[in-house]
Amino acid sequence: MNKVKKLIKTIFLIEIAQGMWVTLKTMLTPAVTRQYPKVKRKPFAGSRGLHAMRRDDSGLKERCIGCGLCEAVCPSKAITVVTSEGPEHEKLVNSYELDLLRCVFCGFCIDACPVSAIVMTPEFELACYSRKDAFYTKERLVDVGDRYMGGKAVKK
Amino acid sequence: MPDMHMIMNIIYTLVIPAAAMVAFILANAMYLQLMERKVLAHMQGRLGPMRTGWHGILQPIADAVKFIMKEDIIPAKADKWVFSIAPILMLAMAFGAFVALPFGPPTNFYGLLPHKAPLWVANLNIGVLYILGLSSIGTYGVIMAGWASNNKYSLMGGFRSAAQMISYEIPMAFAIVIVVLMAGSLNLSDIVNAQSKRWFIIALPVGPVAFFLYLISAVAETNRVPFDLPEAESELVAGYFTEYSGIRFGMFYMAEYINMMVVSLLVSIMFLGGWLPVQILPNTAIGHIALIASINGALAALPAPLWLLAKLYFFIFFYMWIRATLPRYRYDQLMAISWKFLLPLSLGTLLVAAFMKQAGWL
Repeated sequence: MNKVKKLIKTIFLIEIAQGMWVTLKTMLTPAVTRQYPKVKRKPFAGSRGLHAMRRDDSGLKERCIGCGLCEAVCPSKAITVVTSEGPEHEKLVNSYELDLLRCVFCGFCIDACPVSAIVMTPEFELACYSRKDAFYTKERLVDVGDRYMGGKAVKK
Repeated sequence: MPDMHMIMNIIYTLVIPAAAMVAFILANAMYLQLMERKVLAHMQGRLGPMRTGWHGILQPIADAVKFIMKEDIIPAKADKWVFSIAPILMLAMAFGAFVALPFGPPTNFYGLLPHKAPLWVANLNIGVLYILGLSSIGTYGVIMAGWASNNKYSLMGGFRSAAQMISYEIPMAFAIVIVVLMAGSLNLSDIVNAQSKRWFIIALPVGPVAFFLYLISAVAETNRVPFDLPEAESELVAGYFTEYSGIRFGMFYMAEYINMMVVSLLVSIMFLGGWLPVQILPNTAIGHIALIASINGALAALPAPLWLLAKLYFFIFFYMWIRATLPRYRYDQLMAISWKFLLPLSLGTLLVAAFMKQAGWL
Protein backbone atom coordinates (compact mmCIF):
# COMPACT_ATOMS: atom_id res chain seq x y z
CA MET A 1 0.00 0.00 0.00
CA ASN A 2 2.80 2.38 0.92
CA LYS A 3 4.58 1.55 -2.30
CA VAL A 4 1.46 2.33 -4.31
CA LYS A 5 1.05 5.61 -2.44
CA LYS A 6 4.66 6.51 -3.18
CA LEU A 7 4.22 5.61 -6.85
CA ILE A 8 1.13 7.78 -7.12
CA LYS A 9 2.98 10.60 -5.40
CA THR A 10 5.82 10.30 -7.90
CA ILE A 11 3.68 10.04 -11.02
CA PHE A 12 1.40 12.95 -10.25
CA LEU A 13 4.21 15.11 -8.79
CA ILE A 14 2.22 15.58 -5.59
CA GLU A 15 5.17 16.83 -3.61
CA ILE A 16 6.20 19.32 -6.25
CA ALA A 17 2.62 20.57 -6.35
CA GLN A 18 2.69 21.02 -2.58
CA GLY A 19 5.89 23.03 -2.86
CA MET A 20 4.39 25.17 -5.63
CA TRP A 21 1.39 25.82 -3.40
CA VAL A 22 3.69 27.06 -0.62
CA THR A 23 5.50 29.51 -2.91
CA LEU A 24 2.20 30.76 -4.33
CA LYS A 25 0.84 31.35 -0.84
CA THR A 26 4.02 33.22 0.10
CA MET A 27 3.68 35.38 -2.98
CA LEU A 28 0.15 36.37 -2.03
CA THR A 29 1.05 37.27 1.55
CA PRO A 30 2.61 40.71 2.06
CA ALA A 31 6.40 40.82 2.02
CA VAL A 32 8.15 41.26 5.34
CA THR A 33 10.61 43.81 3.96
CA ARG A 34 10.53 47.27 5.52
CA GLN A 35 11.52 50.09 3.13
CA TYR A 36 14.13 51.23 5.63
CA PRO A 37 15.12 54.84 4.99
CA LYS A 38 11.49 55.67 4.18
CA VAL A 39 9.80 53.51 6.79
CA LYS A 40 11.49 53.27 10.16
CA ARG A 41 10.53 50.89 12.89
CA LYS A 42 9.91 52.31 16.36
CA PRO A 43 12.93 51.27 18.45
CA PHE A 44 12.30 48.67 21.11
CA ALA A 45 12.11 49.83 24.72
CA GLY A 46 15.57 49.65 26.28
CA SER A 47 17.41 49.55 22.96
CA ARG A 48 20.99 50.76 23.35
CA GLY A 49 21.97 53.59 21.03
CA LEU A 50 23.87 56.84 21.20
CA HIS A 51 24.87 58.02 24.68
CA ALA A 52 23.53 61.16 26.33
CA MET A 53 24.54 63.15 29.40
CA ARG A 54 21.78 64.40 31.66
CA ARG A 55 21.86 67.76 33.44
CA ASP A 56 21.90 68.05 37.19
CA ASP A 57 19.02 69.43 39.28
CA SER A 58 20.03 73.04 38.69
CA GLY A 59 19.90 72.43 34.94
CA LEU A 60 23.07 74.48 34.47
CA LYS A 61 25.68 71.78 34.21
CA GLU A 62 26.05 68.09 33.59
CA ARG A 63 25.04 65.62 36.28
CA CYS A 64 28.32 63.69 36.16
CA ILE A 65 30.18 63.70 39.47
CA GLY A 66 33.45 62.50 38.00
CA CYS A 67 33.63 59.21 39.89
CA GLY A 68 35.21 57.49 36.91
CA LEU A 69 33.28 54.23 37.33
CA CYS A 70 32.17 54.27 33.70
CA GLU A 71 35.76 54.70 32.60
CA ALA A 72 36.77 51.79 34.78
CA VAL A 73 34.01 49.45 33.66
CA CYS A 74 34.19 50.23 29.94
CA PRO A 75 35.46 47.02 28.25
CA SER A 76 36.69 48.82 25.14
CA LYS A 77 38.18 51.85 26.92
CA ALA A 78 35.99 54.26 25.02
CA ILE A 79 35.42 56.69 27.90
CA THR A 80 37.97 59.10 29.34
CA VAL A 81 37.10 61.20 32.39
CA VAL A 82 39.45 63.95 33.61
CA THR A 83 38.70 65.54 36.97
CA SER A 84 40.32 68.13 39.18
CA GLU A 85 39.75 69.78 42.53
CA GLY A 86 37.80 73.03 42.64
CA PRO A 87 38.32 76.08 44.92
CA GLU A 88 35.92 74.70 47.53
CA HIS A 89 37.44 71.23 47.47
CA GLU A 90 34.63 69.92 45.20
CA LYS A 91 35.30 67.58 42.34
CA LEU A 92 35.22 69.20 38.91
CA VAL A 93 34.72 67.23 35.72
CA ASN A 94 37.16 68.87 33.34
CA SER A 95 36.35 66.65 30.43
CA TYR A 96 34.22 63.64 29.69
CA GLU A 97 35.09 62.09 26.33
CA LEU A 98 33.43 59.21 24.56
CA ASP A 99 34.94 57.67 21.44
CA LEU A 100 32.05 56.06 19.55
CA LEU A 101 34.50 54.35 17.20
CA ARG A 102 35.64 52.26 20.16
CA CYS A 103 32.28 51.91 21.87
CA VAL A 104 30.57 48.51 21.61
CA PHE A 105 27.24 49.74 23.04
CA CYS A 106 27.31 47.21 25.87
CA GLY A 107 25.67 49.66 28.27
CA PHE A 108 28.00 48.88 31.20
CA CYS A 109 28.67 52.59 31.73
CA ILE A 110 24.95 53.17 32.18
CA ASP A 111 24.77 50.36 34.74
CA ALA A 112 27.84 51.63 36.56
CA CYS A 113 26.85 55.29 36.87
CA PRO A 114 25.79 55.91 40.50
CA VAL A 115 23.80 59.07 39.65
CA SER A 116 22.39 58.01 36.25
CA ALA A 117 24.26 60.82 34.57
CA ILE A 118 25.24 58.91 31.45
CA VAL A 119 22.28 57.29 29.69
CA MET A 120 21.56 55.81 26.31
CA THR A 121 19.11 56.99 23.66
CA PRO A 122 17.52 54.79 21.00
CA GLU A 123 19.36 56.72 18.27
CA PHE A 124 21.17 54.20 16.06
CA GLU A 125 21.93 56.04 12.81
CA LEU A 126 25.43 57.13 13.72
CA ALA A 127 27.15 57.19 10.35
CA CYS A 128 29.36 60.22 9.90
CA TYR A 129 31.84 61.59 7.36
CA SER A 130 34.83 62.10 9.62
CA ARG A 131 36.34 60.43 12.67
CA LYS A 132 35.94 63.72 14.54
CA ASP A 133 32.16 63.43 14.29
CA ALA A 134 32.28 60.15 16.18
CA PHE A 135 34.16 61.72 19.07
CA TYR A 136 31.72 62.95 21.71
CA THR A 137 32.84 65.57 24.24
CA LYS A 138 30.96 66.48 27.39
CA GLU A 139 29.18 69.36 25.64
CA ARG A 140 28.02 67.21 22.76
CA LEU A 141 26.75 64.55 25.14
CA VAL A 142 24.79 67.16 27.08
CA ASP A 143 23.36 68.39 23.77
CA VAL A 144 22.18 64.87 22.95
CA GLY A 145 20.60 64.73 26.41
CA ASP A 146 18.85 68.03 25.77
CA ARG A 147 17.56 66.77 22.47
CA TYR A 148 15.94 63.78 24.15
CA MET A 149 14.89 65.36 27.44
CA GLY A 150 14.14 68.93 26.43
CA GLY A 151 16.89 70.37 28.65
CA LYS A 152 15.04 69.35 31.79
CA ALA A 153 16.74 67.61 34.65
CA VAL A 154 14.70 64.48 35.00
CA LYS A 155 15.07 62.68 38.29
CA LYS A 156 15.06 58.93 38.28
CA MET B 1 12.04 50.20 -61.76
CA PRO B 2 10.09 48.35 -59.08
CA ASP B 3 6.52 49.52 -59.09
CA MET B 4 5.03 51.41 -56.18
CA HIS B 5 2.38 48.84 -55.44
CA MET B 6 4.89 46.11 -54.84
CA ILE B 7 6.96 48.26 -52.48
CA MET B 8 3.88 49.21 -50.47
CA ASN B 9 2.92 45.57 -50.36
CA ILE B 10 6.33 44.63 -48.97
CA ILE B 11 6.10 47.40 -46.39
CA TYR B 12 2.65 46.32 -45.28
CA THR B 13 3.24 42.61 -45.12
CA LEU B 14 6.88 42.44 -44.06
CA VAL B 15 8.46 45.64 -42.75
CA ILE B 16 5.69 46.80 -40.42
CA PRO B 17 4.98 43.39 -38.86
CA ALA B 18 8.70 42.74 -38.43
CA ALA B 19 9.31 46.14 -36.82
CA ALA B 20 6.33 45.69 -34.52
CA MET B 21 7.56 42.21 -33.61
CA VAL B 22 11.09 43.44 -32.80
CA ALA B 23 9.69 46.23 -30.63
CA PHE B 24 7.43 43.76 -28.85
CA ILE B 25 10.29 41.31 -28.24
CA LEU B 26 12.71 43.94 -26.96
CA ALA B 27 10.17 45.52 -24.61
CA ASN B 28 9.28 42.09 -23.31
CA ALA B 29 12.86 40.91 -22.90
CA MET B 30 13.52 43.98 -20.75
CA TYR B 31 10.41 43.80 -18.65
CA LEU B 32 10.38 40.03 -18.18
CA GLN B 33 13.60 40.53 -16.24
CA LEU B 34 11.78 42.88 -13.88
CA MET B 35 8.84 40.48 -13.72
CA GLU B 36 11.14 37.62 -12.81
CA ARG B 37 12.82 39.63 -10.07
CA LYS B 38 9.47 40.71 -8.69
CA VAL B 39 7.90 37.26 -8.80
CA LEU B 40 10.95 35.62 -7.22
CA ALA B 41 11.14 38.30 -4.55
CA HIS B 42 7.52 38.02 -3.54
CA MET B 43 7.71 34.24 -3.47
CA GLN B 44 10.60 34.59 -1.04
CA GLY B 45 8.77 37.15 1.11
CA ARG B 46 10.76 40.09 -0.28
CA LEU B 47 9.74 43.10 -2.34
CA GLY B 48 12.31 43.14 -5.14
CA PRO B 49 13.33 46.38 -6.90
CA MET B 50 11.47 49.28 -5.29
CA ARG B 51 13.62 52.38 -5.68
CA THR B 52 13.76 53.01 -9.45
CA GLY B 53 10.38 54.53 -10.17
CA TRP B 54 7.10 53.22 -8.83
CA HIS B 55 7.79 49.68 -7.56
CA GLY B 56 10.99 49.58 -9.63
CA ILE B 57 9.18 50.10 -12.93
CA LEU B 58 12.23 51.83 -14.43
CA GLN B 59 14.68 49.14 -13.32
CA PRO B 60 14.98 47.51 -16.80
CA ILE B 61 16.03 50.87 -18.27
CA ALA B 62 18.67 51.30 -15.56
CA ASP B 63 19.88 47.75 -16.25
CA ALA B 64 20.03 48.35 -19.99
CA VAL B 65 22.01 51.57 -19.55
CA LYS B 66 24.41 49.77 -17.22
CA PHE B 67 24.89 46.86 -19.64
CA ILE B 68 25.74 49.27 -22.44
CA MET B 69 28.03 51.51 -20.37
CA LYS B 70 30.10 48.73 -18.80
CA GLU B 71 33.46 47.84 -20.29
CA ASP B 72 33.32 45.09 -22.87
CA ILE B 73 36.15 42.77 -21.85
CA ILE B 74 37.50 40.04 -24.12
CA PRO B 75 39.91 37.80 -22.20
CA ALA B 76 43.45 37.82 -23.60
CA LYS B 77 43.51 34.08 -24.22
CA ALA B 78 40.00 33.87 -25.61
CA ASP B 79 39.27 33.02 -29.22
CA LYS B 80 38.19 36.53 -30.15
CA TRP B 81 36.05 35.77 -33.20
CA VAL B 82 34.12 32.90 -31.70
CA PHE B 83 33.82 34.80 -28.43
CA SER B 84 32.23 37.75 -30.22
CA ILE B 85 29.98 35.74 -32.49
CA ALA B 86 28.48 33.48 -29.77
CA PRO B 87 26.12 36.00 -28.11
CA ILE B 88 25.07 37.44 -31.47
CA LEU B 89 24.28 33.95 -32.74
CA MET B 90 22.20 33.15 -29.71
CA LEU B 91 20.27 36.39 -29.83
CA ALA B 92 19.72 36.12 -33.59
CA MET B 93 18.34 32.60 -33.25
CA ALA B 94 16.05 33.70 -30.45
CA PHE B 95 14.75 36.58 -32.56
CA GLY B 96 14.49 34.39 -35.63
CA ALA B 97 11.97 32.08 -34.04
CA PHE B 98 9.45 34.93 -33.90
CA VAL B 99 9.31 35.05 -37.67
CA ALA B 100 7.12 31.96 -37.70
CA LEU B 101 5.07 32.63 -34.59
CA PRO B 102 1.54 33.85 -35.34
CA PHE B 103 -0.18 36.13 -32.82
CA GLY B 104 -3.70 35.87 -34.17
CA PRO B 105 -5.84 35.63 -37.30
CA PRO B 106 -5.52 38.46 -39.85
CA THR B 107 -7.33 41.51 -38.59
CA ASN B 108 -8.14 45.04 -39.76
CA PHE B 109 -7.95 46.34 -36.17
CA TYR B 110 -11.69 47.12 -35.89
CA GLY B 111 -11.80 48.98 -39.17
CA LEU B 112 -8.63 51.00 -38.56
CA LEU B 113 -6.95 49.57 -41.66
CA PRO B 114 -8.48 49.40 -45.15
CA HIS B 115 -7.59 45.71 -45.50
CA LYS B 116 -6.81 42.81 -43.22
CA ALA B 117 -3.24 42.76 -41.92
CA PRO B 118 -1.53 39.58 -40.75
CA LEU B 119 -0.40 39.26 -37.14
CA TRP B 120 2.67 37.31 -38.13
CA VAL B 121 5.81 38.10 -40.08
CA ALA B 122 5.70 34.98 -42.25
CA ASN B 123 3.09 32.27 -42.32
CA LEU B 124 5.59 29.44 -42.77
CA ASN B 125 4.12 26.09 -43.66
CA ILE B 126 7.01 24.41 -41.83
CA GLY B 127 6.80 26.74 -38.82
CA VAL B 128 7.30 24.09 -36.16
CA LEU B 129 10.28 22.55 -37.91
CA TYR B 130 11.83 25.98 -38.46
CA ILE B 131 11.58 26.91 -34.76
CA LEU B 132 12.97 23.55 -33.66
CA GLY B 133 15.88 24.04 -36.04
CA LEU B 134 16.62 27.53 -34.77
CA SER B 135 16.59 26.41 -31.16
CA SER B 136 19.14 23.74 -32.07
CA ILE B 137 21.39 26.31 -33.70
CA GLY B 138 21.01 28.43 -30.55
CA THR B 139 22.74 25.61 -28.70
CA TYR B 140 25.84 26.35 -30.76
CA GLY B 141 25.92 29.82 -29.24
CA VAL B 142 26.21 28.25 -25.80
CA ILE B 143 28.91 25.81 -26.84
CA MET B 144 30.85 28.48 -28.72
CA ALA B 145 30.72 30.83 -25.76
CA GLY B 146 31.87 28.07 -23.43
CA TRP B 147 34.72 27.00 -25.67
CA ALA B 148 35.95 30.42 -26.76
CA SER B 149 36.16 31.83 -23.24
CA ASN B 150 39.16 29.60 -22.46
CA ASN B 151 37.88 29.14 -18.93
CA LYS B 152 37.20 25.79 -17.33
CA TYR B 153 33.89 26.88 -15.84
CA SER B 154 32.68 28.21 -19.16
CA LEU B 155 33.79 25.06 -20.92
CA MET B 156 31.99 22.82 -18.44
CA GLY B 157 28.89 24.95 -18.74
CA GLY B 158 29.04 24.66 -22.50
CA PHE B 159 29.47 20.88 -22.38
CA ARG B 160 26.63 20.48 -19.95
CA SER B 161 24.42 22.64 -22.08
CA ALA B 162 25.22 20.64 -25.20
CA ALA B 163 24.50 17.32 -23.51
CA GLN B 164 21.34 18.64 -21.92
CA MET B 165 19.93 20.21 -25.06
CA ILE B 166 20.59 17.10 -27.11
CA SER B 167 18.92 14.93 -24.46
CA TYR B 168 15.84 17.06 -24.06
CA GLU B 169 15.33 17.92 -27.69
CA ILE B 170 14.28 14.33 -28.39
CA PRO B 171 11.27 14.10 -26.05
CA MET B 172 10.44 17.67 -27.01
CA ALA B 173 10.47 16.82 -30.69
CA PHE B 174 8.30 13.74 -30.07
CA ALA B 175 5.80 15.84 -28.12
CA ILE B 176 5.68 18.22 -31.06
CA VAL B 177 5.30 15.34 -33.51
CA ILE B 178 2.25 14.18 -31.54
CA VAL B 179 0.74 17.65 -31.91
CA VAL B 180 1.57 17.68 -35.60
CA LEU B 181 -0.10 14.28 -35.94
CA MET B 182 -3.24 15.57 -34.25
CA ALA B 183 -3.33 18.79 -36.28
CA GLY B 184 -2.13 17.28 -39.54
CA SER B 185 0.05 20.32 -40.29
CA LEU B 186 3.38 21.91 -39.47
CA ASN B 187 1.95 25.39 -39.87
CA LEU B 188 1.36 27.04 -36.50
CA SER B 189 -1.79 28.86 -37.66
CA ASP B 190 -3.24 25.57 -38.87
CA ILE B 191 -2.36 23.95 -35.54
CA VAL B 192 -4.34 26.65 -33.73
CA ASN B 193 -7.29 26.32 -36.10
CA ALA B 194 -7.28 22.55 -35.62
CA GLN B 195 -7.99 23.17 -31.93
CA SER B 196 -11.17 25.15 -32.50
CA LYS B 197 -13.28 22.17 -31.34
CA ARG B 198 -11.07 21.19 -28.42
CA TRP B 199 -7.62 22.17 -27.27
CA PHE B 200 -4.92 19.55 -27.62
CA ILE B 201 -4.21 19.62 -23.90
CA ILE B 202 -7.58 17.92 -23.28
CA ALA B 203 -7.37 15.62 -26.32
CA LEU B 204 -7.36 12.40 -24.31
CA PRO B 205 -5.44 10.21 -23.97
CA VAL B 206 -2.29 11.57 -25.64
CA GLY B 207 -2.83 15.33 -25.33
CA PRO B 208 -2.08 15.77 -21.61
CA VAL B 209 0.94 13.48 -21.82
CA ALA B 210 2.39 15.38 -24.76
CA PHE B 211 1.74 18.65 -22.90
CA PHE B 212 3.57 17.36 -19.84
CA LEU B 213 6.49 16.13 -21.97
CA TYR B 214 6.77 19.44 -23.77
CA LEU B 215 6.51 21.50 -20.60
CA ILE B 216 9.39 19.65 -18.91
CA SER B 217 11.57 19.58 -22.02
CA ALA B 218 10.97 23.27 -22.60
CA VAL B 219 12.28 24.14 -19.15
CA ALA B 220 15.40 22.10 -19.86
CA GLU B 221 15.71 23.59 -23.34
CA THR B 222 15.80 27.13 -21.95
CA ASN B 223 18.34 26.17 -19.25
CA ARG B 224 16.12 27.23 -16.40
CA VAL B 225 15.73 25.92 -12.87
CA PRO B 226 15.47 23.01 -12.06
CA PHE B 227 17.52 22.15 -15.17
CA ASP B 228 19.91 25.11 -15.05
CA LEU B 229 23.09 23.04 -14.86
CA PRO B 230 24.84 24.93 -17.69
CA GLU B 231 24.78 28.09 -15.60
CA ALA B 232 24.65 26.59 -12.12
CA GLU B 233 26.00 29.54 -10.18
CA SER B 234 26.83 27.52 -7.08
CA GLU B 235 29.05 25.18 -9.11
CA LEU B 236 30.20 26.96 -12.26
CA VAL B 237 30.20 30.67 -11.35
CA ALA B 238 27.88 31.54 -14.24
CA GLY B 239 28.53 28.65 -16.62
CA TYR B 240 29.11 29.44 -20.26
CA PHE B 241 28.93 33.24 -19.90
CA THR B 242 31.31 33.54 -16.94
CA GLU B 243 33.80 35.59 -18.97
CA TYR B 244 31.26 37.86 -20.61
CA SER B 245 30.62 41.41 -19.48
CA GLY B 246 28.86 44.53 -20.63
CA ILE B 247 26.56 44.37 -23.62
CA ARG B 248 27.60 40.83 -24.60
CA PHE B 249 26.47 39.59 -21.20
CA GLY B 250 23.26 41.55 -21.72
CA MET B 251 22.76 39.77 -25.04
CA PHE B 252 22.95 36.36 -23.37
CA TYR B 253 20.54 37.58 -20.76
CA MET B 254 18.10 38.84 -23.35
CA ALA B 255 18.41 35.65 -25.37
CA GLU B 256 17.43 33.65 -22.29
CA TYR B 257 14.23 35.63 -21.82
CA ILE B 258 13.39 35.63 -25.52
CA ASN B 259 13.83 31.87 -25.61
CA MET B 260 11.49 31.65 -22.66
CA MET B 261 8.94 33.62 -24.63
CA VAL B 262 9.38 31.34 -27.63
CA VAL B 263 8.76 28.14 -25.69
CA SER B 264 5.85 29.72 -23.81
CA LEU B 265 4.28 30.87 -27.07
CA LEU B 266 4.84 27.44 -28.60
CA VAL B 267 3.19 25.65 -25.70
CA SER B 268 0.26 28.09 -25.83
CA ILE B 269 -0.13 27.64 -29.56
CA MET B 270 0.29 23.88 -29.64
CA PHE B 271 -1.64 22.83 -26.55
CA LEU B 272 -3.78 25.70 -25.25
CA GLY B 273 -5.43 26.76 -28.46
CA GLY B 274 -3.21 29.76 -29.17
CA TRP B 275 -5.43 32.79 -29.67
CA LEU B 276 -8.70 30.85 -29.24
CA PRO B 277 -10.70 32.19 -26.29
CA VAL B 278 -11.30 30.29 -23.07
CA GLN B 279 -14.80 28.80 -23.08
CA ILE B 280 -16.74 27.17 -20.25
CA LEU B 281 -17.82 23.71 -21.41
CA PRO B 282 -18.89 24.95 -24.86
CA ASN B 283 -20.30 21.77 -26.43
CA THR B 284 -22.21 20.35 -23.46
CA ALA B 285 -25.59 20.93 -21.83
CA ILE B 286 -24.01 23.32 -19.32
CA GLY B 287 -22.63 25.42 -22.17
CA HIS B 288 -26.20 26.07 -23.42
CA ILE B 289 -27.45 27.61 -20.16
CA ALA B 290 -28.18 31.26 -20.97
CA LEU B 291 -25.84 32.76 -18.37
CA ILE B 292 -22.85 30.59 -19.24
CA ALA B 293 -23.52 31.01 -22.94
CA SER B 294 -23.44 34.79 -22.54
CA ILE B 295 -20.19 34.59 -20.53
CA ASN B 296 -18.73 32.45 -23.32
CA GLY B 297 -19.88 35.02 -25.85
CA ALA B 298 -18.22 37.85 -23.91
CA LEU B 299 -14.99 35.86 -23.62
CA ALA B 300 -15.00 35.14 -27.34
CA ALA B 301 -15.51 38.84 -28.11
CA LEU B 302 -12.12 39.77 -26.62
CA PRO B 303 -9.37 40.37 -29.21
CA ALA B 304 -7.64 37.15 -30.22
CA PRO B 305 -4.02 38.29 -29.60
CA LEU B 306 -5.00 39.17 -26.04
CA TRP B 307 -5.81 35.54 -25.36
CA LEU B 308 -2.47 34.42 -26.74
CA LEU B 309 -0.64 37.00 -24.64
CA ALA B 310 -2.57 35.93 -21.53
CA LYS B 311 -1.50 32.34 -22.10
CA LEU B 312 2.08 33.46 -22.87
CA TYR B 313 2.40 35.39 -19.63
CA PHE B 314 0.77 32.60 -17.67
CA PHE B 315 3.45 30.18 -18.83
CA ILE B 316 6.24 32.67 -18.23
CA PHE B 317 4.88 33.13 -14.73
CA PHE B 318 4.75 29.36 -14.41
CA TYR B 319 8.44 29.05 -15.28
CA MET B 320 9.30 31.72 -12.71
CA TRP B 321 7.10 29.96 -10.21
CA ILE B 322 9.02 26.72 -10.79
CA ARG B 323 12.29 28.59 -10.38
CA ALA B 324 11.18 29.93 -7.01
CA THR B 325 10.10 26.48 -5.85
CA LEU B 326 12.42 23.73 -7.03
CA PRO B 327 16.10 23.03 -6.33
CA ARG B 328 18.48 22.03 -9.11
CA TYR B 329 18.70 18.41 -10.26
CA ARG B 330 21.95 16.53 -10.04
CA TYR B 331 23.61 15.91 -13.39
CA ASP B 332 22.96 12.16 -13.50
CA GLN B 333 19.35 12.72 -12.43
CA LEU B 334 18.98 15.18 -15.27
CA MET B 335 20.19 12.59 -17.78
CA ALA B 336 18.13 9.82 -16.19
CA ILE B 337 14.92 11.85 -16.41
CA SER B 338 15.44 12.43 -20.08
CA TRP B 339 16.67 9.03 -21.30
CA LYS B 340 15.00 6.67 -18.85
CA PHE B 341 11.68 8.40 -18.33
CA LEU B 342 10.76 11.07 -20.87
CA LEU B 343 12.09 9.29 -23.96
CA PRO B 344 10.24 5.95 -23.42
CA LEU B 345 7.12 7.85 -22.42
CA SER B 346 7.24 10.04 -25.49
CA LEU B 347 7.83 7.05 -27.79
CA GLY B 348 4.91 5.16 -26.26
CA THR B 349 2.63 8.18 -26.52
CA LEU B 350 3.64 8.74 -30.11
CA LEU B 351 2.80 5.11 -30.88
CA VAL B 352 -0.64 5.45 -29.29
CA ALA B 353 -1.24 8.73 -31.09
CA ALA B 354 -0.24 7.27 -34.44
CA PHE B 355 -2.47 4.25 -33.90
CA MET B 356 -5.42 6.40 -32.91
CA LYS B 357 -4.89 8.73 -35.85
CA GLN B 358 -4.88 5.79 -38.19
CA ALA B 359 -8.05 4.40 -36.59
CA GLY B 360 -9.67 7.82 -36.87
CA TRP B 361 -10.27 8.30 -33.13
CA LEU B 362 -8.20 11.42 -32.78
